Amino acid sequence: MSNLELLERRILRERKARKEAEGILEAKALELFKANSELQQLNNNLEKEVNRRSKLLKENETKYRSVIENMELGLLETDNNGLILKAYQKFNELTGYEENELIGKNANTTLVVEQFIPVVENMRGKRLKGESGVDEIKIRKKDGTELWVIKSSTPFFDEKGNLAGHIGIHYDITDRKKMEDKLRVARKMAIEAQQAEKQFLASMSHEIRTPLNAIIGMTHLLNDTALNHEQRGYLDVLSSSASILKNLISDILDISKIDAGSLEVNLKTVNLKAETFKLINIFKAKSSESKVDFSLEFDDNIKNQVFCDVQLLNQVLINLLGNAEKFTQEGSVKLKVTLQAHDSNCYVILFEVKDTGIGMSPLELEKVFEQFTQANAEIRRNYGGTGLGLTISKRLVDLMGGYIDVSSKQGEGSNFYFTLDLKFSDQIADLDIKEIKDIQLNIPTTPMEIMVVEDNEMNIKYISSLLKKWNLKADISWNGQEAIDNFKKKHYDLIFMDLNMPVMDGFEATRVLRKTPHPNRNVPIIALTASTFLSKKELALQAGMTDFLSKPFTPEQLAEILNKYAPEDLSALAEIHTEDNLSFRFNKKLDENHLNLVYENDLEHVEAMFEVFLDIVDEELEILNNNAKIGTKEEVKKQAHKMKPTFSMVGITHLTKKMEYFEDNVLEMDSLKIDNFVRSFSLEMKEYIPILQEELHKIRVFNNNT
Amino acid sequence: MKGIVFSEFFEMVEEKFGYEVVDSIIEKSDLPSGGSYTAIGTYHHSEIVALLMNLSDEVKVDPQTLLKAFGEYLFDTFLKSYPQFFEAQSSAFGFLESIDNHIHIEVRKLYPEATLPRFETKIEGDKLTMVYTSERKMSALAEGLIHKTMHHYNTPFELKKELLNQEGSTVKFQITTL
Repeated sequence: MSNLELLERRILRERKARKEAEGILEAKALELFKANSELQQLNNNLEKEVNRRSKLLKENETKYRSVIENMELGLLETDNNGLILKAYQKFNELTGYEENELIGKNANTTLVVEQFIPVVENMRGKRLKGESGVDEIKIRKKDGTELWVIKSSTPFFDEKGNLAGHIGIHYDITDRKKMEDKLRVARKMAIEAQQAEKQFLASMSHEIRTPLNAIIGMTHLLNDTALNHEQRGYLDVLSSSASILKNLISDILDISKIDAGSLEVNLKTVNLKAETFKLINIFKAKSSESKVDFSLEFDDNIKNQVFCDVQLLNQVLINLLGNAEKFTQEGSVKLKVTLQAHDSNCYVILFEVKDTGIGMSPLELEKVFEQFTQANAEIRRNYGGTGLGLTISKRLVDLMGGYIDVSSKQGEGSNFYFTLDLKFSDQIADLDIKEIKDIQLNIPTTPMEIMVVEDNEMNIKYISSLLKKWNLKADISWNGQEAIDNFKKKHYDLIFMDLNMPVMDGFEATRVLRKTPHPNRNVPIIALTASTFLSKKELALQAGMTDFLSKPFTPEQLAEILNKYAPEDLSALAEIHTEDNLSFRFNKKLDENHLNLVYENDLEHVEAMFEVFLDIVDEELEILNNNAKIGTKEEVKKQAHKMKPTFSMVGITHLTKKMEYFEDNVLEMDSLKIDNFVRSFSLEMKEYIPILQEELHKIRVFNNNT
Repeated sequence: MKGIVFSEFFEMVEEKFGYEVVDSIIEKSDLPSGGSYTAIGTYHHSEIVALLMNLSDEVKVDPQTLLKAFGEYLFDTFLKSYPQFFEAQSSAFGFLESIDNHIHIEVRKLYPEATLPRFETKIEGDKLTMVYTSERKMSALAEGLIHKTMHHYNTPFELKKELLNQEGSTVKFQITTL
């Protein structure tokens, strides 16, 4: 093989390879060109997109900047050290500075009023933790005047994402602050004015009531004298005007009392059926000549006595019944009491007063519970009234935790209804008609020894004339000191005591009387009070008074008090004896079973024991009291042991049990506990004394008769 | 197979045995390409096999030895043409690891049609295990390259080679530095 041939083949191969390489290169070059054009196209698109976005961004920025600039918001940029980087036009207008006066200054020390610097610092701290917030601060203008602003602020960052500073946004609220201050002052003044108005209303009503009492009293007395027809006509007008005036005053006083929050709910066990029965009977009697028929529908499922403030409930029902009567010239008024639901210790009771009167339009319905609102002027003219009755009723029902509402149709009548949640006691409420009649009895028939302590001649005349009319006589004392002197001279069944008197007032006199060792010391003392405020009544009770009678009072109210505290009617007792001659009925508050067991109807024995007990009980309590205060525990225990059996001997078995417990435990008790026990025990015991005295009186009568 | 393998193969044969041998093995092998190669072209891998077998016949050296020698020769070409891959690594093991992880990835970007062997590596202390996998069954070429790599990084070593299957498409190299 020749070298030439070899070389030729090699050259041939090299040429072929070169061509091939050139082809590949050309193809690659083309490929590269295409890729390049594509890349260029992409770059162009990208650039367009960037431009578009930049433009959009710029537009947005311009838009928002103009929005903010036009929003009366002062913008201020500060760096991380709180030095001002840029102050926007609105901010400069707000503060009166030029931008170049602010740049490089510390924003807080230059602009913020000193006392608000901590607020701003605190805000900055929160913001660095990522919490945002708005504060109200004061800033100082270039001319030294101060501005209230709302300030919010937001961090901004450099290209690398590092915190570069903050933009604070300030909004001038100086005018708003001024307005707030004015409003606050105005509100305070309004509240004070309202308070003064209430106070004025309450005291005026009170001042008006006192002379009114005399006017009404005198008209009652005048009515009982011989009058000719004309005079009687005048007296009727006088009497009814005075009554209207009194009702108005009472209503206003009620409202002001409720408003002042001085009215309290006093829960007592109440026989609801008897109470409502009584109420309807009063209305029946009152309306015997009119054409309104009153009726009561009482749900017999309400079997037990309930805990209820019967005074408030009656006031509401009287209001509603009176209202119904007023707007029903002819037709019927029904009081309906329904048990809606109950659980183990509580009734839900629905009270409804339905009439067939003139009813109300929907418009009138809306306003019916509003103060001083009567349906229209015509109603006021035709039916009278203050427009307060329903307002008072609503507030009283609210106070008792109920809700009052009304449904009505014009021309067909109205139905006022409310529900009360009333806890019930385990006592069954028997409706004893005889009992109800007794309650309606006006005047006690028993002779009573009464003392009236009062310095107002007119009031003395009023009360003594009434008593005289009922064949009761009263001794008069003109002040507390005189009362104490007279007190010791003879036995009294009842004392009426004015509170404010010269020489010695009623509180003091009562305290002295209660401490005087005399059979009269436990006599019921009735406070005569012209004050309707609870505090006075509380003071009276604390001083040792038994009950109270608000001036002005009606003959009925006086009679009620007399009945409540009159000694047992002898003739009534005689009646009982003819019915049941064999056994003596003890007062329900005493343990009858125990007494019968111990004495086996030997009432002479009972009489002797009651006498002895009443004789010694005060003294024994005194000894217990002294031992508790200054004696040893052993001495207290000894006295307790001595006293223990005596209570059950007069039928107060539970006090014997209490004393037994005390005797067993006294050695382990500290002096405070002993003191508390002795005090509450004495109080409880003393409550029994009038009951025992009454009982002793009855036993004597019984023994004398048999 | 990339053209550079063929052109470098011919370079080596010509250098060691003269162009007559190159011409002879081209003439003996029945090559679709006619024996003219350009570095940037792509050719069927059976051509290198035919050329290698005919060379072995011609010079009476066994193909595996020839292939390993070719690997060592090829290393110098790579080092000259692509120094950046070597500069990027400071150790032999680091470089060997980077073949699969980095170099072959770059090669594929440039020549998407290229069929490349896989090198799975695992380093445990002073020992590198490298598993060669390729249907070309040219692990001897890889062995030559590995030898030269270790020398390039001045790393004394010991190499154990183990065929993981009979035909030699999967081969395990264990390189321990000394």
